[in-house]
Amino acid sequence: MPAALTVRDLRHDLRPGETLLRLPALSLPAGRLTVLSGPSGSGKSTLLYLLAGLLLPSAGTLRWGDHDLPRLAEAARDRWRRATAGFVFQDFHLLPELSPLDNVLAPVWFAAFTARAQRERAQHLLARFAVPQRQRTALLSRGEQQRVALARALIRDPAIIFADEPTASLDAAAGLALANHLQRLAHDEGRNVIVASHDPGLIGRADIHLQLERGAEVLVS
Amino acid sequence: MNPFPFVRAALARNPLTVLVFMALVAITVALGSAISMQERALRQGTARAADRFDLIVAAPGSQTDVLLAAVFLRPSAVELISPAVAHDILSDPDAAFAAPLAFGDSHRGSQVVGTTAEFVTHLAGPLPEGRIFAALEEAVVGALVDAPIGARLEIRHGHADDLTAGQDADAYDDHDHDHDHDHDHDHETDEVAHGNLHLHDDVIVTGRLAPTGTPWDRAVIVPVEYVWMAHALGTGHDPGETRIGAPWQAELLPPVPAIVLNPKSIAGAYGLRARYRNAETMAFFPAETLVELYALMGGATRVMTALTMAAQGLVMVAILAGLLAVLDLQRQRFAVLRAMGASGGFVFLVVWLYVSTMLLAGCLLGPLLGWAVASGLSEQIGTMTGIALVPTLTWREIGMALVLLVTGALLALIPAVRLYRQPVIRALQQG
Repeated sequence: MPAALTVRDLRHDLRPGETLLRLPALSLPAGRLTVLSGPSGSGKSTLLYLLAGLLLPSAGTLRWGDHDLPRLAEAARDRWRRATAGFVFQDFHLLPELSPLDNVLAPVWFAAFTARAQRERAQHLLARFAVPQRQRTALLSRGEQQRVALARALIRDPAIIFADEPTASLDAAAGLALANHLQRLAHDEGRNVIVASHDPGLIGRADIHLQLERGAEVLVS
Repeated sequence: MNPFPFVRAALARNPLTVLVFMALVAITVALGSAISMQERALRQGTARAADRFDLIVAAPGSQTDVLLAAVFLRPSAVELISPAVAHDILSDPDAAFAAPLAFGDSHRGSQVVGTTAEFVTHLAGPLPEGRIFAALEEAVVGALVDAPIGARLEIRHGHADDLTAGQDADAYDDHDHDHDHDHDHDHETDEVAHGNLHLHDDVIVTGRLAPTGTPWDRAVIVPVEYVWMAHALGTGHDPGETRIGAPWQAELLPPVPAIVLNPKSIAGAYGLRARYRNAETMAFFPAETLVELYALMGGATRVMTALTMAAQGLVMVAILAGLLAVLDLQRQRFAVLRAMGASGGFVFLVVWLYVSTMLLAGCLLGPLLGWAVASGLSEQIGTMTGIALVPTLTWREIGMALVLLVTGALLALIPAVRLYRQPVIRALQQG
């Protein structure tokens, strides 16, 4: 899995003269759980979106393997993300009108007309995360919904998982279960898991911890 | 790529809103389709009704009034052709036959029309039931008249109540009063009971016409001599002679409201028309007058079509505005698709298909709804006039719906482009 990240002199300005964050250097090898933490407004989500190629930095290089993301065109970044990354959001962002299985298969349809070949994998992922498949999506518990979102992120077997406050809207037990899953995805499956979170439970498990302060240099530990 | 699961999800998110949008499109398409189908049905129905009336000759006046009276059996005040002129027309050698028409009586809501057996056969073809009248007090009935063969029908002076609606339009009315006749009635008390509706001699039904899809389907048709006789005008034959039909004697012929001429040839038709366009008569092909009426009707239709198109435009703009608001509420869900790797083009396609699906459903339902509306209207007009109107869905209506669909699909590019171009991060963060 070519999921190693190299960052040099990364800077993101909110507007000219107002810098939100600076990251002089960062190297993330595959198989690590990286947690971005910091107070609200410090730029956790922004850094996550920069690393995912959803946002372009004001300066610096950001390279995933051979891909220098800021230099790629938008369509190429879409393709890279589609092939390489999975996303988990705080509010899950499932489509309640679709079944849990179809929600998991959703990213497959971005590039293929039929998802028949991935159906078995989707069922396997839902079973792995203990999600009842016949239940309507809207009726699943919040923990179950977040696990559907995690299965959706994994459907194309991505090398990188981005998660934005994945445990923030879960109760303690569900949050703990999800943290375990994320850790296993990094350590057992060799994925690069990057999480923006306030959750001490997740911060405590981090292999690499990036601490952010608005306008300041990111501290890497 | 497969945008359809996402289109399905977007449609299912606000089903009521989606149904309202679809209904609005369907109704706006239906209005345009119904107007178009109704106008065509009216043209075809009236043209079919006038088809057997080759050339009509009447006293100078309104061709429309004569057309309404002769073809559509609508009560109209028409002048009478003088007996001497009428005799010349009725014995014109260039006509295969010439049939006088006489109106002014009714039977239980049905118009009673006097004419010749020859014209009845020309109008409706061979009788499917019974035989044509052969004596003064015999009659044939239109296909929709509720009277069996052999029935004795009571004929009243005056028009059918439901047709006259208070109009005084009997061609022989003035003539009746001039002659101060007693109509040979046995029921003088009916005159008191029914105002000017008094009774003539009964007639016996001898046959029923095949359906023609015209007001004649509801008429009772009697020998023209019966009507003349009932109005104390003689029979056009020597007193005591019981024969009906041509030839009539010039000096005994009463004045006639209208004569239908069946020319021997097309060239002859124009010759006859020219011959009887003079100071004493007017002659016209029903199609000529219908074309003038169609021009009026067409003008009204164009106005209605323009209004409908304006309404369609407004509805489309209103729908578009509504959709922009609805889609604005869903912008985070589209941003999430982008974050997960969907291309901008994919999001564009989902939004465009979402809007176009609603338009397509409305444009498919619209012509069918329009046909249902036009059918209902045709039924009502048919009941009122007796003219069989058959609205049909043609490529014209389908084309109109297609134009709206294409226009709508082009307009749907606006919300699609708007969401395609939205900054993903802002939509993700704002929710």
